[in-house]
Amino acid sequence: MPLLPAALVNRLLPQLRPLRRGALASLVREDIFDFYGRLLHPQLQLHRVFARVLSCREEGDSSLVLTLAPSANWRGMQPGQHVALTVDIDGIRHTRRYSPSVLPGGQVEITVKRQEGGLVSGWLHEQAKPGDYLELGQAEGDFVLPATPPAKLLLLAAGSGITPLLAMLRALRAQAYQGDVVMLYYGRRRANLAHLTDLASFPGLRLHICLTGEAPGDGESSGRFSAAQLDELVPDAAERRAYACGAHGFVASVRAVWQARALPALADEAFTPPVWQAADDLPITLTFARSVGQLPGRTGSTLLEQAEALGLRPAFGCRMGICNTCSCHKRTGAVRDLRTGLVSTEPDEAIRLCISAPVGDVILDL
Amino acid sequence: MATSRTLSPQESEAFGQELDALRNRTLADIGAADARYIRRVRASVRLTELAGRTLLFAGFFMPTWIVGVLLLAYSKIVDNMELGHNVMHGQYDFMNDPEFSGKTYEWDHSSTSDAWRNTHNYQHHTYTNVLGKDHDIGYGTVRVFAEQRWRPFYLLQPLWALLQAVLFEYAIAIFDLKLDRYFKGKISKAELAAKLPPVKRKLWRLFLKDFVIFPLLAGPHFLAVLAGNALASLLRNLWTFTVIFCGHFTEHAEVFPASVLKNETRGAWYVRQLRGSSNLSGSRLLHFMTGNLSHQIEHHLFPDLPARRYATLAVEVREICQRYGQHYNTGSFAGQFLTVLARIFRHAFPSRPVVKPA
Ligand code: FES
Repeated sequence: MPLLPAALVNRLLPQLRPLRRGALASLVREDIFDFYGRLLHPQLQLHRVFARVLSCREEGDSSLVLTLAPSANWRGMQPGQHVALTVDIDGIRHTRRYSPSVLPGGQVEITVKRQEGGLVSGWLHEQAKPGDYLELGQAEGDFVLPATPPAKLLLLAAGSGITPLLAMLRALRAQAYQGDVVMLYYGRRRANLAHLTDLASFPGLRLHICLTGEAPGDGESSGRFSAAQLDELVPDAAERRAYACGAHGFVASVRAVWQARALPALADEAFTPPVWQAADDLPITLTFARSVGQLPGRTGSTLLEQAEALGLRPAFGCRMGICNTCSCHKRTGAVRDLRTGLVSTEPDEAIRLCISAPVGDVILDL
Repeated sequence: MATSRTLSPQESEAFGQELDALRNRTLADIGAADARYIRRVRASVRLTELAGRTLLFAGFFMPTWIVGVLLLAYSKIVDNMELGHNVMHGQYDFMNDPEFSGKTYEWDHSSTSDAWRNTHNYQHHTYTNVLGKDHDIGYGTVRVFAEQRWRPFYLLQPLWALLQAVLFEYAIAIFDLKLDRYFKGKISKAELAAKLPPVKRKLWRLFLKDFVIFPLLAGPHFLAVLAGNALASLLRNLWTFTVIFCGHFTEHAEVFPASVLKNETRGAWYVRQLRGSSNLSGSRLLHFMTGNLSHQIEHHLFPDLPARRYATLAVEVREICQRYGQHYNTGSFAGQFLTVLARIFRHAFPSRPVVKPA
């Protein structure tokens, strides 16, 4: 039981500004402040955001909808952006990114699709309960609506790709948006689709459900996204501002049709799962998110050697995995530890560049 | 000298592979228990610091003052050894917790953690006991091996060592500036100046905290807090100096010429780590209070494994060493420290390396 009431803590947090910057900050170590703060209340942190779980409800056959109340340290978000959600499982923290919706009261709603063998999604489905505190990151990403929403919209969602689009729809509803929206929502089976009731209640939304792994019902379509299907379902696609979100393959196929037809204005976002390549020395994409961006890489040789060959100068010391100088934050991707042969696909973890070789596309904070 | 048999290249490779296998077995087992452990260690550091400072604030009532000093000294020692030193090696990076990240961890020690990560994690751990490469050999003020060149300055080294022990954290803090190299003209004034600001900032910050701000906060008990903080810091300095000098400068610890680094294999690197390090035997409390650096050998073989594992690892390491005819340098705290003192006195005077029988 926290020693301080949440309301008091959240009124206090904005007052900590002088501590966050300015002269005092160099005398107060954030980790020490946070340690003592936690003893009083889980949300009493200098910068970090912890959100209280208000409710957990099942949606469809495989989604869990969490309603969270973030602390006053959270800076809010625009619909379509994503946030990092971190959970502590057996003392080890795991981070995944989700696209929440912001509810009218300032709470955050996150839809967690259960992944096969997924550590975090499985844990949230089974263990998360009202009253828990989960760590939330600040919002990121530029998959957002323009300030004045366009009159005609086309939303393309596949699987979990529905969540940022749902957040946009809800924001539009809150603004009493009068425009015309068409949505194509792809899923393997109808039971997989989440938030259907909410979508059905959205005024002026024409929703097309497309099932790829099950016979379609009345008014539904079947098969994956294709140019023909687009022509059939959305003949005026060229006049619409389009947003697409889903797994890598889905977004790539949408992008291909848009390019082939030279259609304007597609915003897209993909969740890229690691690409598995067992054999050595295959081409992959390395992304150095802080510096040069995307460059071609290979599996098989270390990230340190590859970064250097590409002209980057990451810090290093021993080059044999003992000194930790080359430790670097990996956002996503699969790497092999060359000393142990173990492959890690965990997003958001520290790796040592000098003994890690990519086994698929990798995004590094470098 | 050490009784280790010289290993053939194949043997040292096999030796290294056995250690790698041991490392991987341990790695596969690391998880929740280690995370819980280090969180508890940190809680004990924070809470004893709070309790110690609170007691000191009560002024000079001898019993509480002494308990206050001891609690604060405990907090400083554990923060330095089991928490700071080990976290900064990246031993707990597996937790993915920003507060235990080796790359960014900051400690309550006058040496900036960035400097420490460079001189200690990188230079000292990569080039352990290699003359000219590992500056930790004697920390620039003491001559502990006959292989170091003698200079008249060393005649007074028992005194330098004592001073260093008393001021150990400051010695470590300015050690990174390589003042000796500056005085010898090996680095320029500009190079030195470039390194100065963060060191100065950190020194001032900790100095102000313990010797100005906290005493002032205590108001009428200014002196009690000042004296308590000074004594706690002194205890920490003496303790860490002793532990650290026992790690590599005991009787059987070996020193190596820079030539060993040429084409050194992973196996040979392991052999050098073993021969350059020395352990202390003792109770669990001793191991804890030294940050498990009493298992200096295991720490040097596996600097990135959680230190709480070293005691278990030591059993197998010892057995492997025995099979390969390698001397496993260990002894009681007092015994090992006496050999360190002997070295400090002996090598104050000109001395020659013992020529090993072929
Ligand atoms: S450079 Fe030392 S661990 Fe990578």
